Amino acid sequence: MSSRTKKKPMSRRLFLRGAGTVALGLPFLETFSRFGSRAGAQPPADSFAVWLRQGNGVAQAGNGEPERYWPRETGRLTTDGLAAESDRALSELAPFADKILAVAGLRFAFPGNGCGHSGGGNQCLTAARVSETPSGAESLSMGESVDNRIARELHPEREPMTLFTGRKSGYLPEVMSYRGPMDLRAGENDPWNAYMRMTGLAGMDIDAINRIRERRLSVNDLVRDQMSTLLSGDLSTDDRRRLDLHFTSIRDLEVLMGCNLPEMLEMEIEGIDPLSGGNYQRVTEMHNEIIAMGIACGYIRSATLQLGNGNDGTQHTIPGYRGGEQLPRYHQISHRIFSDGSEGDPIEGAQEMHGAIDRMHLGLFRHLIERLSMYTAESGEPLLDRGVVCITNDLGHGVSHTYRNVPFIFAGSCGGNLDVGKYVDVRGGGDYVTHNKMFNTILSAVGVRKDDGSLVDDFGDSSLEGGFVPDLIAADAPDF
Amino acid sequence: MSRLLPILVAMVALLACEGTIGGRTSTSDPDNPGDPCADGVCEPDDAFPAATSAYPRLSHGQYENTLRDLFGLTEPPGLATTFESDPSGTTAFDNDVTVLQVTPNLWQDYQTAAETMAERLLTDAEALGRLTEGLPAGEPERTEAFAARFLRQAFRRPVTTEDTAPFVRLANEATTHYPDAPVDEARVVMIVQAALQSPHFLYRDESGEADAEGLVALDDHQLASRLSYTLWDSMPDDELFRAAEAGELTSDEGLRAQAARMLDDPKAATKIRSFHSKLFDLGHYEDVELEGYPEDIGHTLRAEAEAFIDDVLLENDGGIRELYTAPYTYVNEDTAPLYGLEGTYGPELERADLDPAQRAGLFTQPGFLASHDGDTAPIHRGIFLNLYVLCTTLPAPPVFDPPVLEGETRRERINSITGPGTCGATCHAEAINPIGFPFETFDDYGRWRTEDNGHPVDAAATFRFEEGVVGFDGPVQLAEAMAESLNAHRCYAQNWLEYSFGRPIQPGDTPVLESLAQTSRSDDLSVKEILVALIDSNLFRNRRTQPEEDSE
Repeated sequence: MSSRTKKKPMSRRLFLRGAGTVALGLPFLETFSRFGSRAGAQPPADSFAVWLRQGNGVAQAGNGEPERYWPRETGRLTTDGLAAESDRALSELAPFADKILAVAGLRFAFPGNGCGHSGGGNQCLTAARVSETPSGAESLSMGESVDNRIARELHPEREPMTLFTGRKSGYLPEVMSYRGPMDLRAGENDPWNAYMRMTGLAGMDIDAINRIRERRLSVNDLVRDQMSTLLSGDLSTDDRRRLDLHFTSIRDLEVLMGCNLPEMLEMEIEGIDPLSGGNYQRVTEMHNEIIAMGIACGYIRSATLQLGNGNDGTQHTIPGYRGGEQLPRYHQISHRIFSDGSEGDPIEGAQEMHGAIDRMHLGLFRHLIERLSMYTAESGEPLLDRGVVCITNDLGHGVSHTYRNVPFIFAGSCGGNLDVGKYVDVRGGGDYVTHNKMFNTILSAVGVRKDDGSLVDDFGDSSLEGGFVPDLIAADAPDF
Repeated sequence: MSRLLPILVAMVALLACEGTIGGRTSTSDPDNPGDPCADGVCEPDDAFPAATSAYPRLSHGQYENTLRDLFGLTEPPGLATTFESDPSGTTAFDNDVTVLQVTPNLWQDYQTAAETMAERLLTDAEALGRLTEGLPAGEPERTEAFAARFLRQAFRRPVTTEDTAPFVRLANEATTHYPDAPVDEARVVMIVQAALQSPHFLYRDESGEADAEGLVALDDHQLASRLSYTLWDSMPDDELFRAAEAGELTSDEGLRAQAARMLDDPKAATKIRSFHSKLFDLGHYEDVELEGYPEDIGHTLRAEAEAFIDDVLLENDGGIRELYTAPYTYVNEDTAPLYGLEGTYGPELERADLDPAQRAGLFTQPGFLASHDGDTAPIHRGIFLNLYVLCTTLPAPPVFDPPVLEGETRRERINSITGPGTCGATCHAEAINPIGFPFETFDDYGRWRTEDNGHPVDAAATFRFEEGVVGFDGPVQLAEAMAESLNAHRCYAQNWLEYSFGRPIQPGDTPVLESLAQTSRSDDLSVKEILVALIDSNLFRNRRTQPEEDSE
């Protein structure tokens, strides 16, 4: 293998704003160009969507506990106003108040099936029913997830990037991304693996890349012939689906020249133990870096990042909080007792800890916002404004395991389609709104359309009432 | 220390739920026309094969082992460690073929692994020499001979010229792709890397013509592969290839002879260890932290369990009766105090006899006892054993409002909301609590105790096994009751079936499972005997076709 070469010629499409002014500096991104795709040139990263999922609910009011999450009043958000509400977790996003759309009042439409976390995780990006069989922690979604829909429609040559922070438990690992009913996509929890899939050959010299490309073309042709032969035989429905996925997964070489993270960061990503609970925050930041770079390079337009297991039992250490002591297991904190189940000793200050963990997660969300804000799209806007990122949850509240008032916190306007800079309770004094309508709104804002070219208004289970959430749409939205 | 906090959550079944006890699959389901036991009579020959994929994909572990054996390596090459993980299936294992597929990321991983393996060969003269030994000298004979020999191994079946020709053509381009390598070597690695990306390597081929009842009788080579992946999680060896080519595997005697031979191979021991590690979640023991004990105590507890399993099942050819009841274990200087053992112990694990009134088998070891969060966690302990030792069906817990816990001991508090007379009686009072409460004689570190919160421990309970209601007092009697039960013997066989065949159980398996459960209980079947019985069943030799694609 050739050693990595760095820094390719300056790209006109994207450049980094503020290089050297942020913690990591990112001096590497003075260049972005694509090279060698046989799939044809990608459109610029005009629109995209990224979904982060924190587990175990948030420390919002309920079950006799005080509000620690949402701002006091709905309405327009300002940096100063949000910062002044320092006792509320969303104040972590104050620097980006004008980019934020904090949405309360949404609910999942369907009950879980034996495990609140599994049922919530399976619905949170699908708005679909939870399987009858399997059930419990093994239950699955009966529909496609929104990240898959976006990738399928806007970037069909690549599946959504599906990342995961932390160790996967045997009880309930990934829950977010579905190709379709009961077809759960595994999450990658090692950022180095994700990074190498994206950039593994990017540092090689052109002759070596060309040799690899030609070799892969030859091998792929052979494998495609073999797959075609298999697919032409008598197959069951299930085998045909699986082999079809295999066939369409055979890709020719793409190399994202110039899309490298700085060497020091690369080394850190390569060396970090992604399974260590102590690395949870740093690994998440690495995932953020990879997602942001992947979008900026046109490698992906859709991604998910699941933060922790389905019932996240990470023992967090939060700098500056409680002297940096290691906290009890997060899942137990969300139960307020030293138990993942029904009874145990109380965890003193558990709701406050939960609030601190909410802040930590919102801080990690802010890190992604910062990274996406550092890129400028060809239009001259910050890249963040061309798409949308969201942090949500599998539950509304940890103790009750409710599916009501599950937070959906967005940043980015999708080119002016979303009414950012506000906190809204979409109930408007009425009932909770099923979150499929929110997905319809986001899908349409990000550029997905139905077969007839109209806005998407029917995502999720077919039994759900369609339509949008008007509160999310900007008054002068170009696409609505 | 305060121990009361009346907060309940929906993680575990606590209140009213409708449960069935006695296995995930009903042994008699008259509403299911596919159930061969519907008439109440079951003979092993009544079993019918499961509807399964014609192209089951190798699991990542199988991929690794196959590369090891294909290239004659001493260890798996480690290439799959960075592969995209597979989603969880519905069994306790990682080889559930119903969820194994090739995604774009995994395809890229396969591609990279194949290229890496090829690159390694170019720098490993010994490995390359093994692959090319005895080939004719001239071309194209040399390349054609290599392709025929290697692809037969990689595809685990005879190959034809039609199979090899595309690889030979690819090899003819090798100098373009590997201009710096000697041409003979370039040709070989070109074939190798293409073969490792071929669907014929990545999938086992169980395709074939179905009879009128939808049954596909596996041929000798398909049986060889099924046998080797069942017992070794790897490809057939030379002897198994020979037996397949001689047509020996389609006879009962031939198949049994090969199975017996293979079970004596160290690769079978590895598979047996892997089964228990996954089923009993021994990896979770690594997370155990005990105040006052070394940081790596969790690792030691796992090693203890593994040494005990090796001793019982591999060195003494035992079965689950010993596994669940044997009053000895392996301890070192760190873990001996957990048992109250006096004496001098060093850093190495050594066998130690335990008080038979206190300890019996795997589940009275501190690894199991301390690995469930929440103090002594009788509910978690009870749920685990119900699910993985007795295969009790525990239905979904209901949504509920948090009730108030009352009582002095943990048992009393749990009973106050889940015990007899409460709305949680069905699941908890009859299934979960009776299995969890006997372990209240151990604290959360797994140390023996006689009091809970200043009150005597009440470790007595009754459980409705299939044979009837059985009473027991304490963990030793519970272990003995479980080891005597059909539930436990069937459950163990059921899990072996799921792991061996890489699929969830289906109704057609019931006669075989019933027979195995009965025989295992009456004859103390060893693991190896259970595996032979599974292979000897008609579940093994055939496959039933899955629903065909709808024609449009």
